[in-house]
Amino acid sequence: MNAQEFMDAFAEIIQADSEFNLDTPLAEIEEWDSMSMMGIIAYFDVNHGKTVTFDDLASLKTVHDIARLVPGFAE
Amino acid sequence: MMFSESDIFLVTGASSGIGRATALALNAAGATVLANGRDEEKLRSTRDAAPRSENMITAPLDIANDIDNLPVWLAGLAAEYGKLRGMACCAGITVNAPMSFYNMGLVARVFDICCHAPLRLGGAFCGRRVNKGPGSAIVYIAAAAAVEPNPGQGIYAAAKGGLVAGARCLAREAASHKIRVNCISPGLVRGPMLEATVRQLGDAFLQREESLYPLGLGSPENVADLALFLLSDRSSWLTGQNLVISGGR
Repeated sequence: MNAQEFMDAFAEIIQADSEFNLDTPLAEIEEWDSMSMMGIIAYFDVNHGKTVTFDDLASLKTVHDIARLVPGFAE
Repeated sequence: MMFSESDIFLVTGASSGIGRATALALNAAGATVLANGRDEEKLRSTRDAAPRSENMITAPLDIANDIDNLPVWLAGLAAEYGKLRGMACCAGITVNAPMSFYNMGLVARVFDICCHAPLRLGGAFCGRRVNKGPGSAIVYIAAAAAVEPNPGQGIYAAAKGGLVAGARCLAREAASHKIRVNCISPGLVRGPMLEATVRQLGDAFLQREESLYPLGLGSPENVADLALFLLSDRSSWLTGQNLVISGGR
């Protein structure tokens, strides 16, 4: 998965209207709330067979930090 | 004793949590238990903890694996061990995802275990070759989420809600044979399922929820006590109900 593919998937999951890029701090994304986090957790479980927890996400700062959790993410 | 060893009960999900507690409680109350789960080693552990372990038989099977074969499996158990006095369907999984993530891969897994398999078993239980006749009873473990879901519990709530509705219908169909069917909808109960949820949602979730329970979080034994009542003749005038047990939440 490349950066654009991830950002498209991410925007879909959190239903983002606001603009962002990989370096955008999560705290600055209006749609980044507990429901979005739950959606990202479900996304990793279903699409990548990977367990990600709320605590894992709480420690991340940017969209890029989440993208790097994707197995085989192409920088 | 509430039951005798000729009262045979199938308990699904008997490896852990509410299922394990229900299997042990039935056994302690005198019944013979067919303990079902996916993991035979965990079932043996349940059996070894039983006060009358000679009256607990492990019956391993992944009930969600081949749901249309469940009637054959159930009939086979009855043929081998004797007609069943009752059944406690405790197997379940939970998932947390927003409704925008109503993904069929996720949904199918939850529905198979929480709704389709138990209802298939219920329909098969009412067959003459399976149940012991009037006084037989089924208890389904549903969830408080079926009635009052939190955000993120939509898939789980839909599956458990389907179970509750299907069980109510089964109760009406089975009433003429004096077979009773009831659901228990527990709130948060300490055990492996809650631990998995806390691992996913964090300790803040647990602290927040715990503060909303006037009597605190539940134990598997709290639910098992209610299950035994519903499986026994003490609830002979009670069918088609969904009893919420949630510490006052």
